[in-house]
Amino acid sequence: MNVIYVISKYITVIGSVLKGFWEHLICRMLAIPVQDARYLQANDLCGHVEHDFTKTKAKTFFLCFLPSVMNLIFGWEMVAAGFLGLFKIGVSATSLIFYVYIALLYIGVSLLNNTAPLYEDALNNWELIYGKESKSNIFVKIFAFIPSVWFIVDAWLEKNAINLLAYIVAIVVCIVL
Amino acid sequence: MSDENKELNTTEGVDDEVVDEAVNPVEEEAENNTADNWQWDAAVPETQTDNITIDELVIQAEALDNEEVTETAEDEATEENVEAEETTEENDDDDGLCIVCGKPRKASPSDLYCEECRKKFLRTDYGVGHIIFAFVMVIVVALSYFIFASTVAIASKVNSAQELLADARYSDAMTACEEAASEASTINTGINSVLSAINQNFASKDWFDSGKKLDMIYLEAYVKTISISDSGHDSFVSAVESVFVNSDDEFDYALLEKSGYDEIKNAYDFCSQLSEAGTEFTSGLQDFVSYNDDSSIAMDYDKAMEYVDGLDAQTPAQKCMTDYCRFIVAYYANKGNDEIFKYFDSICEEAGEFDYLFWQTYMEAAYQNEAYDTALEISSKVIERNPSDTNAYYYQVESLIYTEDLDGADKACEKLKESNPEGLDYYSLKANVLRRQGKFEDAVELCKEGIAAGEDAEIYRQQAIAYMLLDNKESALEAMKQSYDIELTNAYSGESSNYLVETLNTAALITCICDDETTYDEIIDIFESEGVSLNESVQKCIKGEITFEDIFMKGTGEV
Repeated sequence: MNVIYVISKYITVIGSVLKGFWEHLICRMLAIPVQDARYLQANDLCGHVEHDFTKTKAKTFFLCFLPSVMNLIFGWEMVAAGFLGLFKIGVSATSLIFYVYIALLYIGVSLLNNTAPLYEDALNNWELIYGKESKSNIFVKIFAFIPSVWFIVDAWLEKNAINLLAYIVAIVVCIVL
Repeated sequence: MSDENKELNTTEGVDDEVVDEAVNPVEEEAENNTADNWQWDAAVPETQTDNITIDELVIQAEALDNEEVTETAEDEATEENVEAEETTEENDDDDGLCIVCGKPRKASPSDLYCEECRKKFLRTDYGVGHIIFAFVMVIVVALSYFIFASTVAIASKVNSAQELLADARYSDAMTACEEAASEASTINTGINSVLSAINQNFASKDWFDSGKKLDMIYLEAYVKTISISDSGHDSFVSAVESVFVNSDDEFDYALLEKSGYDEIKNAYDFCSQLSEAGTEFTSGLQDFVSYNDDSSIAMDYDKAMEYVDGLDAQTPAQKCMTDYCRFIVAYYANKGNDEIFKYFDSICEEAGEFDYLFWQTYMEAAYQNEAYDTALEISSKVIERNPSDTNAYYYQVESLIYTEDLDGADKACEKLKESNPEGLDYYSLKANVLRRQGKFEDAVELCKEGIAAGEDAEIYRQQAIAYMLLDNKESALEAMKQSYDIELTNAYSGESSNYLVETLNTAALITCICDDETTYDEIIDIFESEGVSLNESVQKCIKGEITFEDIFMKGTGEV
């Protein structure tokens, strides 16, 4: 178990739970059996659900893609609102909206820190589409390339809590500047 | 029968068939190939073939075929054994049992669960808490979209104000700041109108704020444009005091000191002293002011000067203000330029780095008193400090026209357009220059461009003058009426205008020449109600003492 990973997931608890929920929802929509639906647990499954191993390309891709996109869309506008309000407009602490912007920034970062699929799912997606025995046609390979690379990179970053660290550094830089 | 016997029998059967098939072609070949036509050297070129008979060859061929068949059977048996071993290894990893209940998976499509467990896991419960949480989050996201959109609307105005400040377009930057503040106010009004339906306590809450950054942009732009002429120093002091407030919403000078905006702080210090001195000193001057029959101001020069000389001025700001009072007295007592400018030079010396506060007044006074060289000198200083100051460009262009430097005036117009590309003043000033150059049609066309960019009373007035000089009275009257209407609408809505008197005088003149008696009478009524008379040049032109060209081309008298 990666302790840093679990800590990062607990810090961004809102995003972790929501990501787990989206994964669960997508698993049910795609008829993938879910054995463990505890979204928060002190192990590598934190922020995810334990599900049956997916064998088809489409199921694997969408299981990786859809929950990530949900958190990504929701997270970006919250982070953008918080960033603009706090750093571009420079709302002061005497204003009520200041605290709303802080909350939005936290929730937004929390959601953006939980956009990656499970590392195993990301690798499985790559193997099914680009593996030696894969028979994917060229259009699928082209279409899925960037998301598939993103799944793996994002999952690796998230696994090592590097993206949370990057968000924290970015916020500190904005405060200093 | 045992499996071993089966395999043996199968192998024997295969052998017999293979042998039969192998012998038959050889026998056929043997029958076809006789010793006479057999090509011995081609078959085995380095072998002695003299002592070999056909019978011996047939026996050797049979033996060779038997060996090949045996090898093939052995290879097949080996492959089967390898496959069997692999299958056994796989079965060691996957015992075919469900990982949850331990029962055989049978025909379950899952690699892990039996059909029963799989069906159960396909409907794993979300949990009520998680559903409520997700629902709340969706509401939060919807609200945050509204906050995001509102914030973007304010931030875009802040950004544009920041860019204008960087481009030294201070007046435009201040306007953008006011627009951003107004945007925040509009959003707050919208929210409050919705929420007040639920609870009256929300009727006047400030939810959104245009932010501290915007306040600082506003002050940074303001400090470049302050002028004592329109009590700008008083407004600047109020603006600073409204920004640097503590938690009790009161002005805190320590916050201003800590802010690091030295230019704003120093300007505030000087302006606040000037403001105090101004209130104290100028109030006493009211006693020496009287009004002439034509509503113009008259000043009792000697008494007023005696009063000003008696004022106790210690600080530079107070000394500036006493000299400013002397200028006011001299100006309204119609003293000569030498005396007026002497006070201004003294003010600028005492004000030091804050002499810019008096430049606008100095420039206007110089222009009014026809000291065009002085007006040009000061307008250049104003433009250097605030490159988009349209007022300074106006006095510069007008002064250049009166000094008959029309090329210089033309260049000044182009500089105005460069520094203030969205401003409408360029069109009216340039049309004025073109008209003076005798390019009436160009002036009309430029005015059309200006009207397309944004309706402005002065552009219509310039167009009307150009039409009159082209002897197109119909178009001139139409344009002049447009100008008059816009100017009146602005005046009634409280908008200040530099051209109101000029517009009314020009409108009176053109409507009189074009026989539009209704509008002319309306204008005369306005003048009478304000206790003001028509411009002297206009009166002379109406009487026929001078021509329209004399006023607008030769500069014998502006309106």
